[in-house]
Amino acid sequence: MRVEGLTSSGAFDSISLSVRAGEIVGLAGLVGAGRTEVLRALFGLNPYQAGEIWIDGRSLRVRSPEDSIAHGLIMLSEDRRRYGIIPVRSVKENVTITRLEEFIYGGRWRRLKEIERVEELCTRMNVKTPSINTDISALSGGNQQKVVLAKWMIQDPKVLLLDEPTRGIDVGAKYEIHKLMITLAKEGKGILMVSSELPELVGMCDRIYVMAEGKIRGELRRDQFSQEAIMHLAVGQ
Amino acid sequence: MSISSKGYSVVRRVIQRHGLLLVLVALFIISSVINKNFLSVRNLTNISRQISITTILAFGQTILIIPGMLDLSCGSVLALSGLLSVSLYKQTESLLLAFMVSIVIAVLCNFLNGLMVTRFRTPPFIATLAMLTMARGAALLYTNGQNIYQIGKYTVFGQGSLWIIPTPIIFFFLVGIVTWYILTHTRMGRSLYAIGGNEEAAIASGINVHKRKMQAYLVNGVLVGIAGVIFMSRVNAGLPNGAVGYEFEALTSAVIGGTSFSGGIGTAGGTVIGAFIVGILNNMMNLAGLNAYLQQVIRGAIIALAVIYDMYAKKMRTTRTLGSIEETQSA
Repeated sequence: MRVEGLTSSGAFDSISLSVRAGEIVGLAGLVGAGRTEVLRALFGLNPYQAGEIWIDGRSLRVRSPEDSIAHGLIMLSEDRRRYGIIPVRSVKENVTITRLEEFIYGGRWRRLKEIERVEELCTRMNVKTPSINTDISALSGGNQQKVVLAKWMIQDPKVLLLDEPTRGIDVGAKYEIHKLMITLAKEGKGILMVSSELPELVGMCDRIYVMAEGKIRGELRRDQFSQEAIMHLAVGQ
Repeated sequence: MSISSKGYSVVRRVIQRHGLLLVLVALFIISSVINKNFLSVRNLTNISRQISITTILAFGQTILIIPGMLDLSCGSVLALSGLLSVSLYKQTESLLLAFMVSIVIAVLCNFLNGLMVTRFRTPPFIATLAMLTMARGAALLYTNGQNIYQIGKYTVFGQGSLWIIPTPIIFFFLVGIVTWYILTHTRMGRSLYAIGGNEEAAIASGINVHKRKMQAYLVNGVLVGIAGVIFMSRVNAGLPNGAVGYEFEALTSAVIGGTSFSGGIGTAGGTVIGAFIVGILNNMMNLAGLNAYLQQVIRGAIIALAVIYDMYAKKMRTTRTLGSIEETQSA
């Protein structure tokens, strides 16, 4: 994915970045720097007034999540409760909600296929749940996050925008999600991760962009990584 | 855990999962004890026929309540579309055209409902309340307040029968099947449940919320149109003032049937059970010779109780899930 000059008045200005296949790129910055807003704009939840986005070399104008999903771009929201999970419904429904056309089409409902696929994903992501028909709100935070990830994995996306993917999650699930991210990167997917945990950024990313006050202040390569370097850029001189 | 407390929690779970059905069964039992004729085919058919129109409307409400909306206008729209349908029949002698016109008018009104709710971001309560008044006014305007009598063969819709099954019940059944199918076997249904569960998450999952909400209103329109035809056909006239208050009966059946205003919950089957519970209660009150006004008071009380229970059930759901999260975190 390549982004150039993305601007949304009041939120961020002239954001240019890139994520190559197989890369995990971090987006660091203080709270309020505009990182979530950038991700939301890329995904089609927030509007933007200027800028261009390319995925796999194809330019696209993103107006809604449907657009981005169609191009293989997905986003894991920062606020799981608000944007991630659908409380009253089952784990199974939560997982398949982004790709219903794979299971319900032409007036037929491929029930067994749906169950198989969901169970396969849940096993792969190590989701701990009594059954895939359990209400998702009964799961722990970490498991809910895995279900949300599963729902995006079912899309087989090219680029993943992850907004604080391990916030508020127990250590075990955190480790599993990190492992998963590395696996996905190895599979050739591109990941752009927003995180406020400096150790996580330094440990997981190939490159880190640092934002402050709506602008990208700098880009750090692996050999330049350090928590001080990140903070220095984030505080913004 | 002792055996008796284990047994108790099993009973509790059964009640929670099948409470609705149990209430219906209990009503059946009580009714048949009070009235020897209750379980006769004739009586049950009567009850089914009486609830047909309301239940068709209730199916529409179910489809709307699940994604967090509702329709307060269905009684008025039913009257408007039914009235125009009767009028057209008298002019063209075509049952087919008359039937279609009712559907078209009702769908049009609901299209406007949908437009107000999606495009203009009007709360469904306000939008459909406005439509309630407009549709009623339009109906009265059309005939200048007069009724249309002598509807001839139009009666076949509501008073006819296929073999021994009265037509209203056939419509009831067909609409029920379609509603069930939409809710369980289509992407639209799944999307509506998702929107009701968490609209923002649904949007973030790529669901076109405006499109689905509009679809829900349009489907409701078809159902209201059908109800309109049956209604006019049964009262033997085109009544611009007909079906007043039907929206509340429809809502009652839906809510008692487990469709929750908190969104994302509800089924066609549940609505059927809710409708029968209401129908049997009405039947019981009639047989007991209760004053019609007193019956209305009781009906209102039932709606109130149903909604209060719905709120309670919602609170139970939230507390239970929070409790589970606390449990797993400490574990």
